[in-house]
Amino acid sequence: MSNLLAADRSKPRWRLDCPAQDVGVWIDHLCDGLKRAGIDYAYLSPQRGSLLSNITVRENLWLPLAWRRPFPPQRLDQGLRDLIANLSGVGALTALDCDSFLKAYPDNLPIHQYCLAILLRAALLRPRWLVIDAGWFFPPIPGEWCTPPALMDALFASAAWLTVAPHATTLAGPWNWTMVNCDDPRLLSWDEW
Amino acid sequence: MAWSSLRSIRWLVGSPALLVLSRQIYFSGYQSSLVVILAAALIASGFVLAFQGITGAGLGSGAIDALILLSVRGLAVQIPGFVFCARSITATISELSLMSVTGERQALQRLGVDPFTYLILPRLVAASLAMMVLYLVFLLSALVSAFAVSALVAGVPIDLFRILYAFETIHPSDLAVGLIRSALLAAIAIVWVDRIETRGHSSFPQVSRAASFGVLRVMLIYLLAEIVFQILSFTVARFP
Repeated sequence: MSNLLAADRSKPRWRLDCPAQDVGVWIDHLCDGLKRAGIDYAYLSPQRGSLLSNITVRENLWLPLAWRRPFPPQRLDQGLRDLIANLSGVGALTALDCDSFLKAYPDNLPIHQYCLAILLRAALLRPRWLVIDAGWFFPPIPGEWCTPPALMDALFASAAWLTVAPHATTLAGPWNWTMVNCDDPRLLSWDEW
Repeated sequence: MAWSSLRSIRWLVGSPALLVLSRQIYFSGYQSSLVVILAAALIASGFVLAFQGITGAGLGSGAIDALILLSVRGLAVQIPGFVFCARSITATISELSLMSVTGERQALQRLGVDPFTYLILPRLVAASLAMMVLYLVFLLSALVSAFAVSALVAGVPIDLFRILYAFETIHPSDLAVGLIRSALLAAIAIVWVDRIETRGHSSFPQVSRAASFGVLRVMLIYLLAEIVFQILSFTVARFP
């Protein structure tokens, strides 16, 4: 567990600055580019539509995994239990009832558990790249983290992060961001990163 | 294209899409079967009573032929089709439109999951299977009800030989065409819903309106397709 929780900030944390109205377009473009390049990636957004509301959390976690490779649900349960057990000391996971959490429908979850489900879904994909909507770094209640930074670091230590943020937005958190502009040629070819 | 379709079918087996498929079969097939059985019984009973009123006799072989022809070539496709529109098409339009409004469909795309393969393909396969089963359920229910009402009203005893004879008069090609029509119309309705009825909505109040108008349009498509089919089959039969 100590290895998992040791924050590895050696991986780059990129921040793509763009006009506020283009954030969604850029996220679509980045996800599409990563998919076409065959690179394992995940996407984080705190918005309510990020999880499908008509299926349980468990099915929401299973869906992208099963899409990318055959993945029996029994393996998902085991993988999740291992992940949650390893992270049990970190913030939002302290008092989590795993069974009821997995059986719940997303709309019935409080916001921090909703974000946790999105986070676990991304973590299970073991991404090389993490595309993040800047809203992820705005705490829903001032001073209270939707996702503790330590949890983010623990889950995505080996992934490169790329946050798409509107101009002049300050991202909360302990991370040092490297700026990328919209006209950066690397955004057209993922081999150049 | 072919590889993409193959990949979609491979993904359908042993994946979350299988859950979508089984839920749709349960919803469109199993839950609707009682309504279809009762509708078939009602129509067949009305047919027998009308026949009884005109001829004063029970269910004769001519009446059986007429009932079978009416059911196999028309009603067994149309009545389950309307039940499918009223229940499944309304639900599908509401569900898919809501997913568009809340951004769930976009989130699926961003995760790399193809919305057509996950949301539409399983529903299309399930609806087609369910409609084929409901076609047979309607047929069986209509025949059994006709014999039962004939026995009750005209005192004609239920004879196993006559029931078997009734099933023997069903022409296999009529049965096959009926089954294909049921499946095809359901598939067309689902694709129409995906392509036309659930796109471009941006607010919640639009969803209920979309469902209402969507059902109306799908019913019209059903009726127009049936009218075209009946005219074509009549023309082919008359001028082979």
